[in-house]
Amino acid sequence: MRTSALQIEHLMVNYEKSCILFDICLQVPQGQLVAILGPNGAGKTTFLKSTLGLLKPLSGKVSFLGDSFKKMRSQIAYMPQRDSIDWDFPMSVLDLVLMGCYGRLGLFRRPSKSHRAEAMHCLEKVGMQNYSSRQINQLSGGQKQRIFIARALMQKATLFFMDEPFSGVDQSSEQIIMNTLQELKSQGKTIFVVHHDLAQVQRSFDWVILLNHSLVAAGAVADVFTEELIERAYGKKQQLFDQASQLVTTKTQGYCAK
Amino acid sequence: MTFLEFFTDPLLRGPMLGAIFICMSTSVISVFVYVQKRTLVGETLSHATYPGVLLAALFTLLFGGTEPASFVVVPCAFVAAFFGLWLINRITRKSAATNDSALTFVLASFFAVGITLASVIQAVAPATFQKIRLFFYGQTASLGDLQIISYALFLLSIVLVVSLFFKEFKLLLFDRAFTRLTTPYFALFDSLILCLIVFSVVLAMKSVGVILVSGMLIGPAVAARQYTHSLVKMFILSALFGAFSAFFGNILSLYLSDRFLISLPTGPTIVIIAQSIALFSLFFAPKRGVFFRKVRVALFRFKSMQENLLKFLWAQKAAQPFSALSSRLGISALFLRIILWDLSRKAWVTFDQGYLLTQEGKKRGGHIVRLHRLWELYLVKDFHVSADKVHKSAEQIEHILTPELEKELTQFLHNPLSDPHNQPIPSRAEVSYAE
Amino acid sequence: MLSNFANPYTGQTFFGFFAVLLKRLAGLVTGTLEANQLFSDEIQLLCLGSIAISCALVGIFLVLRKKTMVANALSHTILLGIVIAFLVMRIFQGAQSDHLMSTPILLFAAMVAALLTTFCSEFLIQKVRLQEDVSIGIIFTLFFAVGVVLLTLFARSAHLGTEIVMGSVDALQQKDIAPSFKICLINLVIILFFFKEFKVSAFDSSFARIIGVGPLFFHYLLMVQTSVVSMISFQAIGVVMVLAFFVAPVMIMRLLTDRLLPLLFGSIAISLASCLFGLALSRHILTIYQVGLSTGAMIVSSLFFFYLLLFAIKGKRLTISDQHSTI
Repeated sequence: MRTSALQIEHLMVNYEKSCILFDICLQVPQGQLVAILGPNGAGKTTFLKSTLGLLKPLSGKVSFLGDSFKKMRSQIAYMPQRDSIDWDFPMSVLDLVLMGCYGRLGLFRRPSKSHRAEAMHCLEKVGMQNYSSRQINQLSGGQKQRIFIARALMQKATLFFMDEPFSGVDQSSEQIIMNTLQELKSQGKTIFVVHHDLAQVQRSFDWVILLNHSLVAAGAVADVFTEELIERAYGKKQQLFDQASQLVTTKTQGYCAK
Repeated sequence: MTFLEFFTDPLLRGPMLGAIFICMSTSVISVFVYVQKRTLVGETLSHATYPGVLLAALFTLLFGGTEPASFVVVPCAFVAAFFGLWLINRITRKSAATNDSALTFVLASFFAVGITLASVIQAVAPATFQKIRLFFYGQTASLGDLQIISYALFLLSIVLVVSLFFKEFKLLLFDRAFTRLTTPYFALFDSLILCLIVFSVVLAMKSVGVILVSGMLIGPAVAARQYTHSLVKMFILSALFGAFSAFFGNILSLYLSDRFLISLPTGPTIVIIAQSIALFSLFFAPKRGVFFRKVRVALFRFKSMQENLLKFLWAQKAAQPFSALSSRLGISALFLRIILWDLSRKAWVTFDQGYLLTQEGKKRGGHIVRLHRLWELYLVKDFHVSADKVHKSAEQIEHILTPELEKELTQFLHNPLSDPHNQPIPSRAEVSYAE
Repeated sequence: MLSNFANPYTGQTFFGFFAVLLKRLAGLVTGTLEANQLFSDEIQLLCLGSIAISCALVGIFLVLRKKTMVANALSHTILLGIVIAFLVMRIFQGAQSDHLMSTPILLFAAMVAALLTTFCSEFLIQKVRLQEDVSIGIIFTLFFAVGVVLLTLFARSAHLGTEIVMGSVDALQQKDIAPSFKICLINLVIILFFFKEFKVSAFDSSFARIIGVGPLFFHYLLMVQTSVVSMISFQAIGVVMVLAFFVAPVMIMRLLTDRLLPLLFGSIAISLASCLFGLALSRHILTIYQVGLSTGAMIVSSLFFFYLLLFAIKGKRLTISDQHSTI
């Protein structure tokens, strides 16, 4: 059996005063287009960030293609939510894509002409080559997302993690992004996408991770997209669980119960 | 020097009472600053007033005076501060500059303009220049009866305004967007708060000094917050801390200069005391203080380990030797001894060729087991987690489930008899004990 | 310092200043320099120029990382470092030294002050869970107050207070050129080598973490640089106006460009230009009105007014979405 693209064991994450993620265990095979679904506040972004080590989990082990994050970091591309970026930063579209090779370059080298050509090529793939010298804020939401994908392409990663890439994106950008993801998948890459559009997930994705503070289900779309499971993820039966998780955080951080 | 003399002696009462009133005022306003997260604005404004002060000095010189009087300085400082605010607003709205760089820019530029004017004055009228320097570090000694009255009036008006419009302020502080959308008075009260901030900065300049005013606009509110989350209490506590800092700042500096001939500048001393109170509160406030939180965490861990021991003994038939307990729990011998001592003190554990549970202990041990198994069942049934993965979670949750949550669980699971591993769940009756 | 030749800048007006300067430069290039020494105006220019470059280099990343108020805080806590260094030096050296700039102890004090401030505020932010603004505010007002107390108690006679706050460009001497040059060079090297890393960690810290650039390291590095540059600058232009040197050129350039490299080079050019302008103006006023004004303050004031002018022309809503909050 091939090594899983992503293997998570007993991931537990606290954030501020509430327990966001609780004992997540899963294994995702390679070459899949994976959707991460769940209601708002269910911890999807936290899941992404703790998997990548951007948030420190309470406990748990994560491996990428069988290895630790440190060893695999050059293979990993991450696209955060668009709101968390400072779009006023004085940077052009090409500059942003060029960033994708910084990891490869190391400390003292500068991007060369061939890197610039490569960056233009990545921009072409997402149809943004005509915008290469624009400042990044002079783009629409969908265009902003596309240049981030171009950066990820530049990174030559094998694992992609994207946080809500389809939110607030126009129709044509959505199509382009979806096509790019499909193409990546056909190259054997694994893409993780935090999404909200159940219909699109059912149509175009292969694998689903259903989250609601804990793992509701993880598996192929056909297996997971049952009424029962969706209801469980999006339904409200988890009150008891939430209360208990809340208490755990309070106690472990030393706050008073009241 | 008797205690009362601090407040009655004509030389001493100015610095004392004046400082107390103005510090109380800035402390009350610091609550606004804290809640609205405008901490750095105070810093900027206190520097932005500088050119105003100097313009006032220039005016005074132009009209033949030598010492800038308060009634000239204060309005000029006020105008300068408001101009600074307006500029910051414009810059953040109309350019790519962020809030913090606009603040820093205005702070430093206004200050520089002030310094330019100051060097003019220094060259032209050195004596006046010296008097202006006082605005830097504050000179509580220069506070006289006039200041006592004006500061007292200021404090009074703040208290009046805040109490009169408490509802409105509270709404504005906690839900800005809502207030803006649904009330007609948003702009009024928002500007009022800014006015109060500017006023307190300008008035406090003379006692604490321009550069240190921002400290008084931060510390007291932070300290107060550690003891309460009620807005009213925050205002009151803040004011008390401000008064306390001013009082002790004065006492300390007077005492040291009296006894040891060390002349401590009062303004900075007040700020040091205020910030120390804040830091102290951050660490030692009863509910939120870091120290007490750590203590609570340690106690929780202790209790959890105790409960683990009770659980273990509950499952055993025979009395267990010390070594078995220590290897099972994986803790140090000393820790184990303390736990056992505490358990015997509570009469839950006795020793008879090994450790075993008393009747009471059995109930408590059984209770934890019950909670553990209930939770496992819950995870399996409702979350469809596989039975072999629920143990670790239950190990954690069993220590925190309250009686209410236990009741809910029992109801939800319909009084279950066995857990996912087919082990019996001790019934409520078996393990109930008097609290 | 003995001057064999009279200072050719004395008695010059604004444009005369530039005339003399150009003549001297021409002389330097062609080898026909009359007076083979540096005059005070030139010394000031060299010192201020290198300080200006250092400040622009550090300032651009302070602005981009939105840490300018932290720089403000650092500039206040440096006072404590300076006073302690001064006291230590007085213990060891006995005599009072008015001229502090070139001492390694001071630079060390600056770095310690920076690290201590950053460490304490990070502690409050991470462990005590206090907001960033508030924790910085408490730390620096406390440190500053302690500094003022120590200053008043032990160093009242040393005029440290005024100098630190106002700066005194006229007190710059030839031996101050070397340290400021060195610092400028070090900053250039650091920024040059780590440009990508600074850029990435300022723009997208999660991306930086993933590719292995440690944002925390660059945060501390920037803080240390800020502190050292502030220390070097304090004597010339004063602690608060250093902030203007950090921020104003960048803000001016930001009105004119959207790209990082033009922003960097433009900021350097503008701060150098403002130094020239300020010095010439200072000389002019001295000549015409016989009044010696604070050169540092005039440089910053000119930057300020230039910004206002540019802002009036160029200020417009640049972003589509209303992302900027009012204060």
